[in-house]
Amino acid sequence: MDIKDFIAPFAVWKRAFEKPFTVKKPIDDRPGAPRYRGFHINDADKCVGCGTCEAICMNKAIDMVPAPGHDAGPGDSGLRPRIDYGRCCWCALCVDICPSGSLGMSNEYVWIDSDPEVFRYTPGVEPKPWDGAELGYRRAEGYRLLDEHRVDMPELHHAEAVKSFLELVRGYSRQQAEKEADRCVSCGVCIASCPAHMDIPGYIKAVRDGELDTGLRLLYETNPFPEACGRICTHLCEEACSIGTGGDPVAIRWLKRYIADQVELSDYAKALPRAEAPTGRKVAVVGAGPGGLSAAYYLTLLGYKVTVFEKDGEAGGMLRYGIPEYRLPYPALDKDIGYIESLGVGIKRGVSIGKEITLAKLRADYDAVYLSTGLPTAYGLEVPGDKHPRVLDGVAVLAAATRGEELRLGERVAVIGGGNVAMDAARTALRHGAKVDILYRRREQDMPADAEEISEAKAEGARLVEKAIPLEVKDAAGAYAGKSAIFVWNDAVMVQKEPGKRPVPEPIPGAVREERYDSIIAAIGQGPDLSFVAESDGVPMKRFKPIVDADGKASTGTVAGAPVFAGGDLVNDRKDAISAIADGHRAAVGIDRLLGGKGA
Amino acid sequence: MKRDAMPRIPPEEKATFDLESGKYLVMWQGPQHPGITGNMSLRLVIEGDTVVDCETHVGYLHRGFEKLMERRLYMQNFPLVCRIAVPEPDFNEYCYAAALEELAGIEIPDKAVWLRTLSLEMIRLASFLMWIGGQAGAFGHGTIAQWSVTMRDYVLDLFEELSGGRIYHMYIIPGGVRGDVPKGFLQHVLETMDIIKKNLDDIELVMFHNAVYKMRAQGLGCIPPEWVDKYGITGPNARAAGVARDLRKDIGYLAYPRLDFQPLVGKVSDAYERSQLRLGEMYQAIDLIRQIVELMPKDGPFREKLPNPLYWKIPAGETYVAAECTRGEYGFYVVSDGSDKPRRIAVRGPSYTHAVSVMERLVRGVNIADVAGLMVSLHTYPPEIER
Amino acid sequence: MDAHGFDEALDFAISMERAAVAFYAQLSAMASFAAQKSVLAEFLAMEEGHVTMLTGMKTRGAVKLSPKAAVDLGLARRLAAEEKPTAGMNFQDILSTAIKKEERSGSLYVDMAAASADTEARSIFERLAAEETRHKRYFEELYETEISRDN
Repeated sequence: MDIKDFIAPFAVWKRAFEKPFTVKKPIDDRPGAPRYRGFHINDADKCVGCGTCEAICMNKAIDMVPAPGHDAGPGDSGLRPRIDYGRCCWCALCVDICPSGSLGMSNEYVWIDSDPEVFRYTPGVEPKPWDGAELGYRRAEGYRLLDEHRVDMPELHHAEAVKSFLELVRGYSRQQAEKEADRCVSCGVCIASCPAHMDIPGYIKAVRDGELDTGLRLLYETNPFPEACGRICTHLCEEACSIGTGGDPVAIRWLKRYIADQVELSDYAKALPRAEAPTGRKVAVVGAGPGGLSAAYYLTLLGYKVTVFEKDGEAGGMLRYGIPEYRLPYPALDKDIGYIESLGVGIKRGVSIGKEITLAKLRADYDAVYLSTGLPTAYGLEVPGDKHPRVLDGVAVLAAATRGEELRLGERVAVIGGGNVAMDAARTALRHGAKVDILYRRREQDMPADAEEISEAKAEGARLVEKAIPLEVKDAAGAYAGKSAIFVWNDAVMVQKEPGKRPVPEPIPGAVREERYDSIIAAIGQGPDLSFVAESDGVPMKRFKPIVDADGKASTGTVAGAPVFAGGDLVNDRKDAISAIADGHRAAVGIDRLLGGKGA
Repeated sequence: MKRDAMPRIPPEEKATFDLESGKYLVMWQGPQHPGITGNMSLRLVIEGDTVVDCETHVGYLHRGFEKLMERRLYMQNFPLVCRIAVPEPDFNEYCYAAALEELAGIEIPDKAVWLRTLSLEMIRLASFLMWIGGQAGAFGHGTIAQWSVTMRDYVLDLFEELSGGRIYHMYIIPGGVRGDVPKGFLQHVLETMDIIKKNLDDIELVMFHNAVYKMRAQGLGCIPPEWVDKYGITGPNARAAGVARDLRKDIGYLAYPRLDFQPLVGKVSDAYERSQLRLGEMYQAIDLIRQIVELMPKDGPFREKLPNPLYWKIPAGETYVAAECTRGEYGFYVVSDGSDKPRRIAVRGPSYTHAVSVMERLVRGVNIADVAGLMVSLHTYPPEIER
Repeated sequence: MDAHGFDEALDFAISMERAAVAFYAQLSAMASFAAQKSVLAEFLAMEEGHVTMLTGMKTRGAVKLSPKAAVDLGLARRLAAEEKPTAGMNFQDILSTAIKKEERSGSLYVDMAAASADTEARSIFERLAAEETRHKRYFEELYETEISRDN
């Protein structure tokens, strides 16, 4: 023992005169660090209520609850996370995983109340003093638990694509599909937005787990056209996808295609349900498009004998005659149709209702009739000179291409319109070596075509002429007379004429331009052909649409004969394959209910 | 008293006492006692004021972490593991993350390696600061705790700045860390280290040059070197006995092979030497933190992208990952059956050996007033005994 | 043509609307299938409604019509329809016929207003012209949403 050991301890006294470490008012004077994980904040408008926070929360501290002012709608469940601070451990995994990035934490950590109930609240919905706090925990830059980038789809390069009708999109490999499927958080927000309400998280899980038979069964529960929809679906689901709120939406469509592509047609029967015992009843379906054949498929499963009448030489409707094979190759479509036919659905090809056989006859011979005739009539340009022989209609051009006919479009082709038919016609013309102009009355962002179709058409070499109001078609002069036509249009400016409505193209006085084309393909819109429905069939119409009830039933029952159901493009405003498929399924269930089937 | 003197009843032998004789008193120390960090208890047999026998009792702190983890997704366990040992959550985070990364075959970015090392050294310092207050307090020197706990809070301030949490940092996540250092953080670290170092100098003066402390701590609970392997003693308890064992050197995980340091060793592992060695490791931690700040890459990715945490499956396999925590070898044994949840996780905390087996034997012959000081000198955390 | 005063102006307008009713009735007689008939019946009912409205105004002795013309979407100027309806007319044919008809009525009222020496009659014709622009607008919007969806 040293003398120092007795003296040194007294050194503590020197601190007695120093400033103390403690502060007087710790609660008032000490804000949390900028990254502090304090009480939650949520941008309730950005939040889509996917519930991924609830799924990752290890303490079950988060419940998704209905939030006033946030109604369920496309891409929004209408729910918002409510946080129970009796359970929360402040780990902020919910913030890390939040697909939209709406969830964060404030740096506020003091909250005193005598009522224990208040410590469970819905941030962003129930106002709190720390709402909108600048400071507090946020996901760090470059750090996310979810993958915001979609697995790239192998595609033909545009320069290569335009040379042939080979399918552009090559499809995912197993590894790619499983990686993409891993991006899904199974929130199910997509299901509501799908017209057919497909079990999207279910079949994505099947991809993830490598259980493709299960996946196929889930697909066929609501959609007997997975090969077709896996390629050309308008994928409203991807617009609703919660992952899309903070990155690329999950490639739901490609995953559907992956399942259907991977299972051989010969193995379908093993995976899919068998038809129930025959009911002895017969149903006629008019139109072998996706809607008609879906109705046929589900009716057959329910035990009905179904005959489908198709005016064209092949089944498939617009999927076959409206969509070029580089988007939907015929073997893929044949696989979908082939399975439906294999169940015993009879398709009478080349039989046109109203010509070979009347609707009245069908109503007499069958127990129910389903109309799914779609929109086969192209509307005309309706400008002076539109009867010129070089003015073609887009739907007819695409159908002719499908039938393998010589198109003889010439070298310079104009496509009038901005819809998918216009894009398909333009890209078909490009593949026949033509130089293509797409003329559209409004702006590119107003085009009703899918964005990817527009960008691909442009990438393949089509020139887009926006704000071109068609004025007239004139015959070309000189040597071109009768072989080419002059298309005259007026350049326009977009004018916001009425507040709240979309801007209107207003012609610029004098800005009239013209161009000579070998073919002018009009693709301004299509209408139904309802000439086969007589008033005596008892199908009420409004503005060239059968009026249907919630089951798809169109007839009022005031005239004798089998009830008539209708669906698809003929009836719904979505005018896409998946809506027609949903309508077909709905009508099958409706017919079954009406005829007293098991589901009645 | 000789500093390496052994108790009258040899520790290896089971002694029997006639408790009916009136010569002995059975006394429970704990489960609530300020000298014990967390809840466990000692059943002491006392003769006069001398402990002649001891039985350690645990079971007051069982929270079932290991079982809980079997029912949660891998990522959901990440906020859970830090709670196993309150004063040193980061070692749990590191071992858990590193075990998963090893099983899943994931390389983490270099920046994450450095940030993890920084985080572990900072918590080492914080943990020792808390310990030294307890150690001094157990021998009646309350002032040290006033200082050191304040210093610990300064370190926690740094953690708050870095990770958003003071106690449970949840910073080391499987795949890397949760964020780069905030702006100005490294400067704060260096400034804080200066403050703490100055304070440690004061502590060194008044605690280790203190007649009372020396008289009570020297010769108390001496661990013979031959016990080290026998009981699996690790960390400063072993190093003080002259066994130069330090996983940071021996395994060389994270950025430690790139740092300049040597394990500190002592000669006689009694309470005094152990605390002196820990003080040395606190200085060492400050030095390491300064090295890390200097050597750490300025930018770059800090986390490797992992699969979706909701379905993350880890290939079947098992691994044991260990790290040198303040008390010795801290380890996670993880078994995966290929599913999205761990099949089995076992946590090895060094306190099991130190507080259950070694304590039971060292306490024989110790004056009852020194039991708490002895326990603290072994630096034990009951939470990691039971999980 | 010249019209004096309130009654004469309204009588003229009512006769115009009656002519429109007759026009749709004539088309409907030509129609061959249910969809055509339902649209024509709808438009006919609209024109009948206008007759009733104008008759009511005449009885009450006051014209309650906004003088504010509707936005012109400019379709009428471009449509080539020459109103030669056939039994097979589709929705596009019917709608362009209707638009053209409203356009013609409108310009007739404009001419009438210009020709009217009587200020009251002029004001009525101006208001009727504005009313016709609203009718035309209605059909133009239908044309935009139902026919020209893709352009």
